Amino acid sequence: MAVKKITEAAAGLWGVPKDVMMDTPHISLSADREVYVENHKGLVALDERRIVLASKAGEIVISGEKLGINRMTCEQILIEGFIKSVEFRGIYKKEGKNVK
Amino acid sequence: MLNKFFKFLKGYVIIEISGSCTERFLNICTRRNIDVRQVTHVSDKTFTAQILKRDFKRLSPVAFKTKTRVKIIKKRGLYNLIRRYGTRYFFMGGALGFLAFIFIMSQFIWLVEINGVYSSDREEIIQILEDNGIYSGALKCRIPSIRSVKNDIITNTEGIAWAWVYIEGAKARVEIYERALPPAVTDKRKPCDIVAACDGFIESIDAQRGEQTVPNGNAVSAGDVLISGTVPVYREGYEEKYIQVHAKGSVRAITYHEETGDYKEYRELRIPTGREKNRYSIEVFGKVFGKCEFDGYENYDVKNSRRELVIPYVGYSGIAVNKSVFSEVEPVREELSEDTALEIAKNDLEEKISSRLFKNTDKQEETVECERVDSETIRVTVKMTCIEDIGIEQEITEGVNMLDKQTD
Repeated sequence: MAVKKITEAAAGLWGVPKDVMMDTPHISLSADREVYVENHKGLVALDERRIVLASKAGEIVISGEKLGINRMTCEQILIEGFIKSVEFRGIYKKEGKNVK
Repeated sequence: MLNKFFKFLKGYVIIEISGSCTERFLNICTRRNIDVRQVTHVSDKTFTAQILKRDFKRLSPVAFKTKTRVKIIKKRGLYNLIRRYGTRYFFMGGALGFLAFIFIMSQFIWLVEINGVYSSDREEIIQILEDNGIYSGALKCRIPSIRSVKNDIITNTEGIAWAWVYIEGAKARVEIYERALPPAVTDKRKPCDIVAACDGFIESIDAQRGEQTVPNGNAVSAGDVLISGTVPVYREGYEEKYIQVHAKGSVRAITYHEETGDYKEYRELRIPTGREKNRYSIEVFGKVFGKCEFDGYENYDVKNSRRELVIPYVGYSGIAVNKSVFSEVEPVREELSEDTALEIAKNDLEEKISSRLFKNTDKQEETVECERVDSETIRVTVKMTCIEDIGIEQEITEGVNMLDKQTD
């Protein structure tokens, strides 16, 4: 965890984007029709109304209607459909404890 | 677009993936660099996806590992198309023949479109284009250089500043830019008189060059000389002689204008009933098949439109569809009050009078008279008194007992 903190501090100090330094996901949203996720770690669940992706920052839950994957590679995924929400459902550090 | 084209060239299959670990199947596919696209949900734990044809064989170990079932639903791409239709020789021959026919026919000009002609002679431009080999049915390769066509149009017609011919497939689009002609400049060296352009009462004459011939307050008729360009020269002991000058000055005169017209106390409106009929005609390489005619409605409005079949990167293909929409209308008579009818008549008559007024006109007085002709018609007369500049130049052709001609 100390390494993570040092990397984050270094990224802030040098002005390098954190997703590049720390391999965290980078999410781009085009209106409510497209979500483009970089640095994902694989597909966890796939459904017409919900797509769950694994990432270093936790699980990314994309909810909506008529969801589908347009293109998928090891690191990038383009999801299409009527997007309602994009949320993180991960393990966050808070006061030294793991909180789900 | 380009991606789709390459995918079509390479060939791809639409597969159905079913099983309990479909997500794992997709993850392993991506890790093994198998390009998976268009993943859509079909039912519970069943998906469809697109993969390249060459990658399909690599799926079986993944399917075995994740205990999923993979089934081909459709095969797409150029390879598949050739495999399906390659043995149907007549079909392939017909398709190739059709493509060849379209290609050959697109080597001709089938439509000449001329844009930007407002005041010039359109027929003259069409004739020049025909002389240069640009007409419906002309072979494109025989058209001379566009620059020479442009020069021909500009030199042989008046009032055209620029022209160019764009060849767009089977269509020749001619763009014309007309010249904005400057106002005619009068030759100041030629002697002239200032004469009255219409009847009126002279209010004031300001003769800057020449001699005033009519005193203020006099009535004049159209054509009367107001400022004469023939000026007498007196010398003691000599006979009176004249010089001729280019008369200049302003003549302000009171003029009367009157306009009368009969107007109805109703107006006819055409209300659409909502019923419409479409009629189509097809234009193939200059020939029109079918007629856009319809006589099912007693009263109707027609709206014409044209859609051209355009081949990408080539242009107009020579095939177009003309559409005419016949909308039924119902004539409705809207009654107008006398005041409204009078107002409409007054505006119309004022517009007619103003079209024949001269420059620098001031309206002094206006009277509107109305009399009833019958139960639904009124006769309106507008009388207008104006002060306007009625002097116009008229060249002097003859001179008697001249001393000399003065140029200024």
